[in-house]
Amino acid sequence: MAEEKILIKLENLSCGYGKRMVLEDINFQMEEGEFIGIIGPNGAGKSTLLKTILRIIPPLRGRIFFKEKDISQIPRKLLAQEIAYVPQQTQVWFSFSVEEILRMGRYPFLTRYRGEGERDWKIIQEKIKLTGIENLFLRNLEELSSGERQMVFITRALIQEPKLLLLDEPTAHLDIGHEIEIFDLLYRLNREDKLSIIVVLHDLNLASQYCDRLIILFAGRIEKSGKPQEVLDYRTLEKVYETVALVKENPITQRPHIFIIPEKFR
Amino acid sequence: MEKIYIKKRGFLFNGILLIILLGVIVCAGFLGTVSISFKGILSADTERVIFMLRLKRILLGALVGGMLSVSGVIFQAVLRNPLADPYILGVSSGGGLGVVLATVLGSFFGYSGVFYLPLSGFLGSLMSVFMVKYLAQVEGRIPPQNLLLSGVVVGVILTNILIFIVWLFEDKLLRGIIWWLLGNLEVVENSLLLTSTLIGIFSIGFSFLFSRELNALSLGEEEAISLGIDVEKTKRLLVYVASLLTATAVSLCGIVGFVGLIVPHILRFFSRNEHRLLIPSSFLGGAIFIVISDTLARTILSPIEIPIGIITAFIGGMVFIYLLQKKKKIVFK
Repeated sequence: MAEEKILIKLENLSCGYGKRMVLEDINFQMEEGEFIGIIGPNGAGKSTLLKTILRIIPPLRGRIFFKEKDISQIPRKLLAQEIAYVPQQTQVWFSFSVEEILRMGRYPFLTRYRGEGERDWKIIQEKIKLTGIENLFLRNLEELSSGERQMVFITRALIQEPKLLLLDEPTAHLDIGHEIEIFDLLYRLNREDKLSIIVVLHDLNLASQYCDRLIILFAGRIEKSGKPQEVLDYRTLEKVYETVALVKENPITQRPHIFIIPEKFR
Repeated sequence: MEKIYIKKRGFLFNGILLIILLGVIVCAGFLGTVSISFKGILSADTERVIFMLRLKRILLGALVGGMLSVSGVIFQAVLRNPLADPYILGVSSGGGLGVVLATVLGSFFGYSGVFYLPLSGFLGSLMSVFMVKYLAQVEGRIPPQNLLLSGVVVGVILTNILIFIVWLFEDKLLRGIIWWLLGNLEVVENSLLLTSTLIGIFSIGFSFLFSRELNALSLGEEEAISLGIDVEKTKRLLVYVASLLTATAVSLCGIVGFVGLIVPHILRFFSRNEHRLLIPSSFLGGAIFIVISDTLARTILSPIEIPIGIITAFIGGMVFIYLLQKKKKIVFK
Protein backbone atom coordinates (compact mmCIF):
# COMPACT_ATOMS: atom_id res chain seq x y z
CA MET A 1 0.00 0.00 0.00
CA ALA A 2 1.32 3.42 0.93
CA GLU A 3 5.08 3.53 1.00
CA GLU A 4 5.35 6.22 3.66
CA LYS A 5 5.04 4.95 7.16
CA ILE A 6 2.91 6.62 9.76
CA LEU A 7 5.22 8.21 12.33
CA ILE A 8 2.79 9.71 14.75
CA LYS A 9 -0.95 9.47 15.06
CA LEU A 10 -3.32 11.35 17.35
CA GLU A 11 -6.59 9.60 18.04
CA ASN A 12 -9.53 11.56 19.49
CA LEU A 13 -7.03 13.49 21.54
CA SER A 14 -8.22 16.06 24.05
CA CYS A 15 -5.66 17.98 25.98
CA GLY A 16 -5.36 20.80 28.46
CA TYR A 17 -4.46 21.58 32.03
CA GLY A 18 -6.40 19.86 34.79
CA LYS A 19 -10.06 20.67 34.19
CA ARG A 20 -9.39 23.31 31.56
CA MET A 21 -9.66 21.68 28.16
CA VAL A 22 -7.70 23.48 25.48
CA LEU A 23 -8.00 21.11 22.54
CA GLU A 24 -10.85 18.71 21.95
CA ASP A 25 -11.05 15.59 19.85
CA ILE A 26 -7.98 16.12 17.71
CA ASN A 27 -7.26 13.56 15.00
CA PHE A 28 -4.32 13.68 12.69
CA GLN A 29 -1.45 11.62 11.51
CA MET A 30 2.01 12.43 10.30
CA GLU A 31 4.07 10.45 7.85
CA GLU A 32 7.78 9.94 8.15
CA GLY A 33 9.77 12.78 6.62
CA GLU A 34 7.03 15.40 6.79
CA PHE A 35 7.67 19.04 7.74
CA ILE A 36 4.54 20.25 9.52
CA GLY A 37 3.80 23.73 10.78
CA ILE A 38 1.21 24.33 13.48
CA ILE A 39 -0.29 27.80 13.37
CA GLY A 40 -3.21 29.56 14.99
CA PRO A 41 -4.00 32.51 17.25
CA ASN A 42 -2.64 32.95 20.75
CA GLY A 43 -4.14 30.48 23.19
CA ALA A 44 -5.31 28.11 20.46
CA GLY A 45 -3.38 25.28 22.07
CA LYS A 46 -0.33 24.99 19.80
CA SER A 47 2.17 24.62 22.62
CA THR A 48 -0.28 22.48 24.58
CA LEU A 49 -0.38 20.03 21.69
CA LEU A 50 3.43 19.78 21.59
CA LYS A 51 3.61 19.31 25.34
CA THR A 52 1.06 16.52 25.20
CA ILE A 53 3.01 14.70 22.49
CA LEU A 54 6.15 15.06 24.63
CA ARG A 55 4.30 13.75 27.70
CA ILE A 56 5.03 16.94 29.58
CA ILE A 57 1.31 17.09 30.30
CA PRO A 58 -0.94 14.02 30.22
CA PRO A 59 -3.75 13.86 27.64
CA LEU A 60 -7.24 14.36 29.04
CA ARG A 61 -8.73 11.88 26.60
CA GLY A 62 -7.67 9.92 23.55
CA ARG A 63 -4.34 8.44 22.60
CA ILE A 64 -1.12 9.22 20.79
CA PHE A 65 0.71 6.57 18.82
CA PHE A 66 4.36 6.75 17.83
CA LYS A 67 5.21 4.16 15.20
CA GLU A 68 1.98 2.36 16.10
CA LYS A 69 2.89 2.18 19.77
CA ASP A 70 0.92 4.05 22.42
CA ILE A 71 3.40 6.65 23.70
CA SER A 72 2.16 6.33 27.27
CA GLN A 73 3.57 2.78 27.13
CA ILE A 74 7.01 3.82 25.86
CA PRO A 75 9.63 4.39 28.59
CA ARG A 76 10.61 8.07 28.72
CA LYS A 77 14.23 7.45 27.85
CA LEU A 78 13.33 5.44 24.76
CA LEU A 79 10.90 8.15 23.72
CA ALA A 80 13.67 10.73 24.11
CA GLN A 81 15.77 8.70 21.67
CA GLU A 82 13.02 9.18 19.09
CA ILE A 83 11.54 12.61 19.80
CA ALA A 84 13.57 15.72 20.63
CA TYR A 85 12.30 19.13 21.67
CA VAL A 86 13.50 22.68 21.28
CA PRO A 87 11.54 24.77 23.78
CA GLN A 88 10.65 28.43 23.52
CA GLN A 89 13.46 30.57 24.83
CA THR A 90 13.07 30.72 28.56
CA GLN A 91 14.89 32.33 31.41
CA VAL A 92 18.00 30.43 32.39
CA TRP A 93 18.62 30.52 36.15
CA PHE A 94 21.78 28.52 36.26
CA SER A 95 24.25 29.02 33.48
CA PHE A 96 26.06 26.13 31.85
CA SER A 97 28.81 25.96 29.29
CA VAL A 98 27.82 25.02 25.76
CA GLU A 99 29.73 21.77 26.20
CA GLU A 100 27.63 20.85 29.23
CA ILE A 101 24.39 21.70 27.42
CA LEU A 102 25.32 19.60 24.41
CA ARG A 103 26.32 16.62 26.54
CA MET A 104 22.82 16.58 28.00
CA GLY A 105 21.64 15.55 24.54
CA ARG A 106 23.22 12.14 25.05
CA TYR A 107 21.34 11.60 28.31
CA PRO A 108 18.75 9.20 26.83
CA PHE A 109 21.55 6.88 25.68
CA LEU A 110 23.52 6.72 28.91
CA THR A 111 23.02 4.67 32.01
CA ARG A 112 23.59 5.93 35.51
CA TYR A 113 26.99 4.27 35.76
CA ARG A 114 28.27 4.80 32.23
CA GLY A 115 29.25 8.20 30.89
CA GLU A 116 29.72 9.32 27.30
CA GLY A 117 31.73 6.90 25.22
CA GLU A 118 33.68 7.22 21.98
CA ARG A 119 30.50 7.05 19.88
CA ASP A 120 28.70 9.71 21.91
CA TRP A 121 31.55 12.15 21.47
CA LYS A 122 31.68 11.43 17.76
CA ILE A 123 27.99 12.28 17.43
CA ILE A 124 28.44 15.48 19.43
CA GLN A 125 31.33 16.54 17.15
CA GLU A 126 29.34 15.65 14.06
CA LYS A 127 26.30 17.70 15.02
CA ILE A 128 28.41 20.68 16.05
CA LYS A 129 29.92 20.69 12.59
CA LEU A 130 26.48 20.30 11.03
CA THR A 131 25.04 23.36 12.76
CA GLY A 132 28.29 25.30 12.54
CA ILE A 133 28.74 26.15 16.21
CA GLU A 134 32.32 24.89 16.61
CA ASN A 135 33.42 28.30 17.83
CA LEU A 136 30.85 28.31 20.66
CA PHE A 137 31.88 25.01 22.20
CA LEU A 138 33.88 26.35 25.14
CA ARG A 139 31.78 29.46 25.73
CA ASN A 140 29.15 29.89 28.43
CA LEU A 141 25.45 30.13 27.80
CA GLU A 142 25.05 33.60 29.30
CA GLU A 143 27.64 35.07 26.93
CA LEU A 144 25.74 34.02 23.80
CA SER A 145 23.31 36.06 21.73
CA SER A 146 19.73 34.74 21.45
CA GLY A 147 20.46 33.42 17.97
CA GLU A 148 23.57 31.55 19.06
CA ARG A 149 21.75 30.19 22.08
CA GLN A 150 18.93 28.86 19.98
CA MET A 151 21.46 27.16 17.69
CA VAL A 152 22.97 25.46 20.73
CA PHE A 153 19.61 24.08 21.81
CA ILE A 154 18.82 22.90 18.29
CA THR A 155 22.21 21.17 18.20
CA ARG A 156 21.45 19.48 21.50
CA ALA A 157 18.15 18.22 20.11
CA LEU A 158 20.00 16.81 17.08
CA ILE A 159 22.53 15.13 19.36
CA GLN A 160 19.60 13.07 20.64
CA GLU A 161 19.48 11.63 17.08
CA PRO A 162 15.70 11.87 16.95
CA LYS A 163 13.32 10.68 14.26
CA LEU A 164 10.98 13.53 15.09
CA LEU A 165 11.95 17.06 16.08
CA LEU A 166 9.43 19.32 17.83
CA LEU A 167 10.10 23.05 17.99
CA ASP A 168 8.08 25.68 19.80
CA GLU A 169 8.56 29.02 18.06
CA PRO A 170 12.27 28.52 17.57
CA THR A 171 12.80 31.97 16.07
CA ALA A 172 10.46 34.03 18.23
CA HIS A 173 12.93 36.72 19.26
CA LEU A 174 15.40 36.44 16.43
CA ASP A 175 16.19 38.80 13.58
CA ILE A 176 15.37 37.84 10.03
CA GLY A 177 18.91 36.63 9.29
CA HIS A 178 18.96 34.14 12.16
CA GLU A 179 15.39 33.17 11.35
CA ILE A 180 16.30 32.16 7.80
CA GLU A 181 19.52 30.50 8.95
CA ILE A 182 17.62 28.27 11.37
CA PHE A 183 14.82 27.41 8.97
CA ASP A 184 17.23 26.67 6.12
CA LEU A 185 19.00 24.30 8.47
CA LEU A 186 15.72 22.61 9.44
CA TYR A 187 14.78 22.31 5.79
CA ARG A 188 18.12 20.68 4.94
CA LEU A 189 17.76 18.25 7.83
CA ASN A 190 14.29 17.41 6.67
CA ARG A 191 15.24 16.82 3.02
CA GLU A 192 18.70 15.28 3.41
CA ASP A 193 18.46 13.36 6.67
CA LYS A 194 14.73 12.54 6.47
CA LEU A 195 14.18 14.19 9.85
CA SER A 196 10.48 14.65 10.54
CA ILE A 197 9.68 18.07 11.96
CA ILE A 198 6.72 19.67 13.69
CA VAL A 199 7.15 23.35 14.36
CA VAL A 200 4.82 25.75 16.16
CA LEU A 201 4.91 29.13 14.47
CA HIS A 202 3.38 32.56 14.67
CA ASP A 203 4.95 33.89 11.51
CA LEU A 204 2.59 32.70 8.76
CA ASN A 205 4.98 33.58 5.94
CA LEU A 206 7.77 31.58 7.46
CA ALA A 207 5.34 28.68 7.90
CA SER A 208 4.18 28.98 4.33
CA GLN A 209 7.70 29.04 2.87
CA TYR A 210 9.16 26.08 4.70
CA CYS A 211 6.42 23.65 5.75
CA ASP A 212 4.95 20.91 3.56
CA ARG A 213 1.78 20.92 5.54
CA LEU A 214 0.12 23.43 7.82
CA ILE A 215 -2.34 22.73 10.58
CA ILE A 216 -4.41 25.64 11.81
CA LEU A 217 -5.69 25.30 15.36
CA PHE A 218 -8.67 27.42 16.25
CA ALA A 219 -11.24 27.31 19.06
CA GLY A 220 -9.98 24.00 20.39
CA ARG A 221 -10.12 22.17 17.07
CA ILE A 222 -8.20 21.70 13.85
CA GLU A 223 -9.67 24.37 11.63
CA LYS A 224 -7.85 23.35 8.49
CA SER A 225 -5.02 21.07 7.51
CA GLY A 226 -3.17 20.77 4.21
CA LYS A 227 -0.58 22.32 1.91
CA PRO A 228 0.11 26.01 2.50
CA GLN A 229 -1.69 26.84 -0.76
CA GLU A 230 -4.81 25.03 0.45
CA VAL A 231 -4.83 26.36 3.97
CA LEU A 232 -3.79 29.98 3.71
CA ASP A 233 -6.64 31.86 2.12
CA TYR A 234 -8.01 35.20 3.19
CA ARG A 235 -11.32 33.77 4.41
CA THR A 236 -9.66 31.38 6.82
CA LEU A 237 -7.26 34.06 8.05
CA GLU A 238 -10.09 36.51 8.60
CA LYS A 239 -12.05 33.96 10.57
CA VAL A 240 -9.16 32.70 12.68
CA TYR A 241 -7.23 35.90 13.35
CA GLU A 242 -10.16 38.34 13.05
CA THR A 243 -8.22 40.65 10.81
CA VAL A 244 -8.00 41.52 7.14
CA ALA A 245 -5.17 40.10 5.10
CA LEU A 246 -4.23 39.76 1.47
CA VAL A 247 -2.75 36.51 0.19
CA LYS A 248 -0.49 36.57 -2.89
CA GLU A 249 2.00 34.15 -4.34
CA ASN A 250 5.68 34.59 -3.63
CA PRO A 251 7.05 34.98 -7.20
CA ILE A 252 10.16 32.90 -6.53
CA THR A 253 8.88 30.09 -4.32
CA GLN A 254 5.29 29.95 -5.59
CA ARG A 255 4.14 29.68 -1.99
CA PRO A 256 1.41 31.94 -0.60
CA HIS A 257 2.55 35.16 1.05
CA ILE A 258 0.39 37.10 3.49
CA PHE A 259 0.26 40.88 3.37
CA ILE A 260 -1.17 42.69 6.34
CA ILE A 261 -3.69 45.46 5.71
CA PRO A 262 -3.76 48.26 8.30
CA GLU A 263 -7.15 49.57 9.33
CA LYS A 264 -6.87 52.87 7.46
CA PHE A 265 -6.70 51.05 4.11
CA ARG A 266 -9.68 48.81 4.63
CA MET B 1 39.87 16.17 23.87
CA GLU B 2 36.92 18.01 25.41
CA LYS B 3 36.12 15.32 27.90
CA ILE B 4 39.69 15.46 29.11
CA TYR B 5 39.28 19.18 29.55
CA ILE B 6 36.33 18.90 31.90
CA LYS B 7 37.75 15.97 33.86
CA LYS B 8 41.06 17.73 34.38
CA ARG B 9 39.32 20.88 35.54
CA GLY B 10 37.24 18.88 38.01
CA PHE B 11 40.15 16.95 39.49
CA LEU B 12 42.27 20.06 39.81
CA PHE B 13 39.56 22.11 41.48
CA ASN B 14 38.40 19.44 43.89
CA GLY B 15 42.00 18.52 44.60
CA ILE B 16 42.77 22.08 45.64
CA LEU B 17 39.67 22.14 47.87
CA LEU B 18 40.69 18.86 49.48
CA ILE B 19 44.16 20.21 50.26
CA ILE B 20 42.66 23.39 51.73
CA LEU B 21 40.29 21.28 53.85
CA LEU B 22 43.10 19.12 55.20
CA GLY B 23 45.14 22.25 55.98
CA VAL B 24 42.21 23.89 57.74
CA ILE B 25 41.54 20.74 59.77
CA VAL B 26 45.13 20.53 60.98
CA CYS B 27 45.28 24.24 61.82
CA ALA B 28 41.95 24.06 63.66
CA GLY B 29 43.28 21.15 65.68
CA PHE B 30 46.08 23.27 67.07
CA LEU B 31 43.95 26.34 67.79
CA GLY B 32 41.84 26.66 70.90
CA THR B 33 41.66 27.59 74.55
CA VAL B 34 44.28 25.05 75.47
CA SER B 35 47.27 25.63 73.30
CA ILE B 36 48.80 22.56 71.82
CA SER B 37 52.22 22.16 70.32
CA PHE B 38 53.23 19.58 67.78
CA LYS B 39 55.75 18.22 70.24
CA GLY B 40 53.02 18.00 72.87
CA ILE B 41 50.90 15.66 70.77
CA LEU B 42 53.77 13.28 70.42
CA SER B 43 54.73 13.30 74.08
CA ALA B 44 52.24 14.70 76.57
CA ASP B 45 49.16 12.59 77.20
CA THR B 46 46.79 15.44 78.10
CA GLU B 47 47.69 17.40 75.01
CA ARG B 48 47.17 14.39 72.83
CA VAL B 49 43.77 13.65 74.37
CA ILE B 50 42.65 17.22 73.87
CA PHE B 51 43.91 17.17 70.29
CA MET B 52 42.04 13.97 69.51
CA LEU B 53 38.83 15.30 71.08
CA ARG B 54 39.20 18.46 69.09
CA LEU B 55 39.87 16.49 65.94
CA LYS B 56 36.69 14.49 66.44
CA ARG B 57 34.74 17.69 66.82
CA ILE B 58 36.38 19.14 63.70
CA LEU B 59 35.55 16.06 61.65
CA LEU B 60 31.98 16.24 62.92
CA GLY B 61 31.86 19.86 61.76
CA ALA B 62 33.27 18.93 58.37
CA LEU B 63 30.62 16.24 57.95
CA VAL B 64 27.79 18.58 58.95
CA GLY B 65 29.05 21.36 56.69
CA GLY B 66 29.36 19.03 53.73
CA MET B 67 25.89 17.58 54.24
CA LEU B 68 24.17 20.96 54.59
CA SER B 69 25.98 22.31 51.57
CA VAL B 70 25.08 19.39 49.30
CA SER B 71 21.53 19.59 50.59
CA GLY B 72 21.45 23.23 49.47
CA VAL B 73 22.77 22.31 46.02
CA ILE B 74 19.97 19.78 45.57
CA PHE B 75 17.21 22.15 46.72
CA GLN B 76 18.53 24.86 44.42
CA ALA B 77 18.53 22.60 41.37
CA VAL B 78 15.18 20.96 42.03
CA LEU B 79 13.44 24.26 42.79
CA ARG B 80 15.44 26.12 40.13
CA ASN B 81 16.15 28.88 42.61
CA PRO B 82 19.66 29.95 43.58
CA LEU B 83 18.37 31.30 46.90
CA ALA B 84 16.95 27.98 48.10
CA ASP B 85 18.62 26.61 51.21
CA PRO B 86 17.49 24.15 53.88
CA TYR B 87 17.47 26.92 56.49
CA ILE B 88 15.57 29.49 54.43
CA LEU B 89 13.08 26.85 53.26
CA GLY B 90 12.23 25.93 56.84
CA VAL B 91 13.57 22.40 56.38
CA SER B 92 16.10 22.82 59.19
CA SER B 93 13.39 24.02 61.56
CA GLY B 94 11.21 21.05 60.60
CA GLY B 95 14.13 18.73 61.25
CA GLY B 96 14.85 20.47 64.56
CA LEU B 97 11.25 20.09 65.66
CA GLY B 98 11.33 16.41 64.74
CA VAL B 99 14.50 15.85 66.74
CA VAL B 100 13.24 17.73 69.81
CA LEU B 101 9.87 15.94 69.79
CA ALA B 102 11.68 12.63 69.45
CA THR B 103 13.98 13.50 72.34
CA VAL B 104 11.02 14.37 74.57
CA LEU B 105 9.06 11.24 73.62
CA GLY B 106 12.22 9.17 73.83
CA SER B 107 12.94 10.22 77.37
CA PHE B 108 9.30 9.63 78.37
CA PHE B 109 9.39 6.09 77.11
CA GLY B 110 13.05 5.48 77.70
CA TYR B 111 13.67 4.75 74.03
CA SER B 112 16.68 5.51 71.89
CA GLY B 113 18.27 3.86 68.87
CA VAL B 114 20.99 4.74 66.42
CA PHE B 115 18.59 5.77 63.65
CA TYR B 116 16.01 7.26 66.00
CA LEU B 117 17.05 10.92 66.01
CA PRO B 118 18.09 11.25 62.33
CA LEU B 119 14.89 9.58 61.17
CA SER B 120 12.65 11.68 63.42
CA GLY B 121 14.42 14.74 62.08
CA PHE B 122 13.84 13.41 58.55
CA LEU B 123 10.09 13.13 59.17
CA GLY B 124 10.05 16.66 60.55
CA SER B 125 11.96 17.95 57.53
CA LEU B 126 9.64 16.23 55.08
CA MET B 127 6.66 17.69 56.88
CA SER B 128 8.05 21.18 56.45
CA VAL B 129 8.91 20.53 52.77
CA PHE B 130 5.31 19.53 52.06
CA MET B 131 3.95 22.49 54.01
CA VAL B 132 6.16 24.91 52.09
CA LYS B 133 5.28 23.31 48.78
CA TYR B 134 1.56 23.41 49.55
CA LEU B 135 1.68 27.07 50.59
CA ALA B 136 3.83 28.22 47.68
CA GLN B 137 1.99 26.41 44.91
CA VAL B 138 -0.22 28.36 42.52
CA GLU B 139 -1.93 26.26 39.84
CA GLY B 140 0.79 23.64 39.91
CA ARG B 141 3.62 26.15 39.62
CA ILE B 142 5.85 27.51 42.35
CA PRO B 143 6.83 31.16 41.80
CA PRO B 144 10.22 31.88 43.39
CA GLN B 145 8.99 34.69 45.62
CA ASN B 146 6.18 32.48 46.98
CA LEU B 147 8.70 29.77 47.70
CA LEU B 148 10.97 31.98 49.78
CA LEU B 149 8.06 33.59 51.58
CA SER B 150 6.42 30.26 52.43
CA GLY B 151 9.76 28.86 53.54
CA VAL B 152 10.33 31.73 55.92
CA VAL B 153 6.77 31.54 57.29
CA VAL B 154 6.87 27.78 57.82
CA GLY B 155 10.32 28.13 59.36
CA VAL B 156 9.11 30.74 61.85
CA ILE B 157 6.01 28.73 62.79
CA LEU B 158 7.93 25.52 63.32
CA THR B 159 10.72 27.26 65.21
CA ASN B 160 8.18 28.74 67.59
CA ILE B 161 6.45 25.42 68.18
CA LEU B 162 9.92 24.10 68.88
CA ILE B 163 10.65 26.90 71.34
CA PHE B 164 7.31 26.24 73.04
CA ILE B 165 8.15 22.58 73.53
CA VAL B 166 11.58 23.49 74.82
CA TRP B 167 9.99 25.96 77.24
CA LEU B 168 7.62 23.23 78.51
CA PHE B 169 10.26 20.60 79.11
CA GLU B 170 13.48 22.47 79.50
CA ASP B 171 13.95 21.80 83.19
CA LYS B 172 13.49 18.06 83.16
CA LEU B 173 14.13 16.52 79.81
CA LEU B 174 15.93 18.93 77.56
CA ARG B 175 18.89 20.18 79.48
CA GLY B 176 21.20 22.32 77.39
CA ILE B 177 18.81 22.28 74.46
CA ILE B 178 19.04 26.02 73.78
CA TRP B 179 22.74 25.53 73.30
CA TRP B 180 22.02 22.77 70.79
CA LEU B 181 19.35 24.82 69.00
CA LEU B 182 21.78 27.56 68.13
CA GLY B 183 24.14 25.09 66.59
CA ASN B 184 26.60 23.21 68.65
CA LEU B 185 29.41 20.88 67.75
CA GLU B 186 29.98 19.51 71.24
CA VAL B 187 31.06 15.98 70.57
CA VAL B 188 28.10 13.65 70.15
CA GLU B 189 27.79 9.98 70.96
CA ASN B 190 29.89 7.72 68.80
CA SER B 191 26.95 5.63 67.62
CA LEU B 192 25.06 8.69 66.36
CA LEU B 193 28.20 9.99 64.67
CA LEU B 194 28.75 6.65 62.94
CA THR B 195 25.14 6.37 61.74
CA SER B 196 25.19 9.92 60.50
CA THR B 197 28.45 9.41 58.63
CA LEU B 198 26.94 6.41 56.89
CA ILE B 199 23.77 8.32 56.01
CA GLY B 200 25.91 11.20 54.77
CA ILE B 201 28.13 9.06 52.55
CA PHE B 202 25.16 7.18 51.15
CA SER B 203 23.09 10.29 50.43
CA ILE B 204 25.89 12.30 48.89
CA GLY B 205 26.97 9.37 46.73
CA PHE B 206 23.36 8.96 45.67
CA SER B 207 23.01 12.61 44.68
CA PHE B 208 26.31 12.48 42.81
CA LEU B 209 24.87 9.65 40.70
CA PHE B 210 21.99 11.99 39.88
CA SER B 211 24.31 14.74 38.59
CA ARG B 212 22.99 14.56 35.04
CA GLU B 213 19.41 14.81 36.23
CA LEU B 214 20.33 17.73 38.48
CA ASN B 215 21.94 19.50 35.53
CA ALA B 216 18.89 19.06 33.36
CA LEU B 217 16.45 19.98 36.14
CA SER B 218 18.28 23.18 36.95
CA LEU B 219 17.93 24.18 33.31
CA GLY B 220 14.17 23.55 33.10
CA GLU B 221 11.59 20.90 33.86
CA GLU B 222 10.07 20.63 30.42
CA GLU B 223 13.46 20.18 28.88
CA ALA B 224 14.36 17.57 31.46
CA ILE B 225 11.22 15.64 30.50
CA SER B 226 12.05 15.90 26.82
CA LEU B 227 15.49 14.45 27.56
CA GLY B 228 13.79 11.38 28.98
CA ILE B 229 13.88 12.13 32.70
CA ASP B 230 10.94 11.08 34.85
CA VAL B 231 10.86 14.51 36.46
CA GLU B 232 8.24 13.96 39.16
CA LYS B 233 9.86 10.81 40.44
CA THR B 234 13.37 12.22 40.29
CA LYS B 235 12.41 15.43 42.05
CA ARG B 236 10.65 13.55 44.82
CA LEU B 237 13.65 11.28 45.35
CA LEU B 238 16.09 14.17 45.42
CA VAL B 239 13.98 16.20 47.84
CA TYR B 240 13.89 13.16 50.15
CA VAL B 241 17.66 12.87 49.98
CA ALA B 242 18.20 16.59 50.60
CA SER B 243 15.79 16.51 53.56
CA LEU B 244 17.54 13.46 54.98
CA LEU B 245 20.90 15.23 54.74
CA THR B 246 19.56 18.33 56.46
CA ALA B 247 17.80 16.33 59.16
CA THR B 248 20.88 14.26 59.90
CA ALA B 249 22.99 17.39 60.19
CA VAL B 250 20.39 18.94 62.51
CA SER B 251 20.26 15.87 64.72
CA LEU B 252 24.03 16.09 65.08
CA CYS B 253 24.50 19.72 65.84
CA GLY B 254 21.27 21.68 65.87
CA ILE B 255 20.28 24.40 63.46
CA VAL B 256 23.23 25.81 61.57
CA GLY B 257 21.90 28.16 58.93
CA PHE B 258 22.94 29.47 55.53
CA VAL B 259 25.70 26.94 54.82
CA GLY B 260 23.68 25.46 51.97
CA LEU B 261 23.19 28.90 50.49
CA ILE B 262 26.55 30.58 50.49
CA VAL B 263 28.91 27.68 49.92
CA PRO B 264 27.31 26.47 46.67
CA HIS B 265 26.88 30.05 45.54
CA ILE B 266 30.56 30.84 45.84
CA LEU B 267 31.51 27.53 44.22
CA ARG B 268 29.24 28.13 41.25
CA PHE B 269 31.67 30.83 40.16
CA PHE B 270 34.43 28.25 39.88
CA SER B 271 32.97 24.84 39.15
CA ARG B 272 29.89 26.36 37.49
CA ASN B 273 26.66 24.44 37.66
CA GLU B 274 27.91 21.11 36.39
CA HIS B 275 26.81 18.93 39.30
CA ARG B 276 29.46 16.29 38.76
CA LEU B 277 31.90 18.96 39.93
CA LEU B 278 29.55 20.95 42.13
CA ILE B 279 28.49 18.13 44.45
CA PRO B 280 31.98 17.04 45.51
CA SER B 281 33.22 20.61 45.69
CA SER B 282 30.18 21.66 47.75
CA PHE B 283 30.88 18.90 50.20
CA LEU B 284 34.50 20.01 50.56
CA GLY B 285 33.59 23.72 50.59
CA GLY B 286 30.88 23.22 53.20
CA ALA B 287 33.32 21.29 55.35
CA ILE B 288 35.93 24.07 55.08
CA PHE B 289 33.35 26.73 55.91
CA ILE B 290 32.09 24.98 59.04
CA VAL B 291 35.53 24.06 60.32
CA ILE B 292 36.63 27.69 60.01
CA SER B 293 33.39 28.99 61.55
CA ASP B 294 33.70 26.54 64.43
CA THR B 295 37.29 27.55 65.06
CA LEU B 296 36.16 31.17 65.18
CA ALA B 297 33.34 30.19 67.55
CA ARG B 298 35.83 28.52 69.87
CA THR B 299 38.53 31.17 69.79
CA ILE B 300 37.03 34.67 69.35
CA LEU B 301 35.81 34.98 72.95
CA SER B 302 37.98 32.23 74.36
CA PRO B 303 37.52 30.61 76.83
CA ILE B 304 33.81 31.33 76.20
CA GLU B 305 32.38 29.48 73.24
CA ILE B 306 29.90 31.11 70.86
CA PRO B 307 27.27 28.82 69.27
CA ILE B 308 28.40 28.16 65.71
CA GLY B 309 24.92 28.84 64.32
CA ILE B 310 25.38 32.48 65.29
CA ILE B 311 28.62 32.71 63.34
CA THR B 312 27.25 31.06 60.18
CA ALA B 313 24.00 33.03 60.37
CA PHE B 314 25.97 36.25 60.64
CA ILE B 315 28.26 35.51 57.70
CA GLY B 316 25.45 33.88 55.73
CA GLY B 317 23.02 36.70 56.37
CA MET B 318 25.51 39.21 55.02
CA VAL B 319 26.09 37.17 51.88
CA PHE B 320 22.35 36.66 51.45
CA ILE B 321 21.70 40.41 51.58
CA TYR B 322 24.46 40.94 49.06
CA LEU B 323 22.95 38.32 46.74
CA LEU B 324 19.50 39.84 47.04
CA GLN B 325 20.87 43.22 46.07
CA LYS B 326 22.73 41.79 43.12
CA LYS B 327 20.05 39.41 41.89
CA LYS B 328 16.97 41.44 42.72
CA LYS B 329 16.27 41.98 39.08
CA ILE B 330 16.14 38.35 38.01
CA VAL B 331 14.84 36.70 41.14
CA PHE B 332 11.94 39.01 41.85
CA LYS B 333 10.88 39.69 38.32
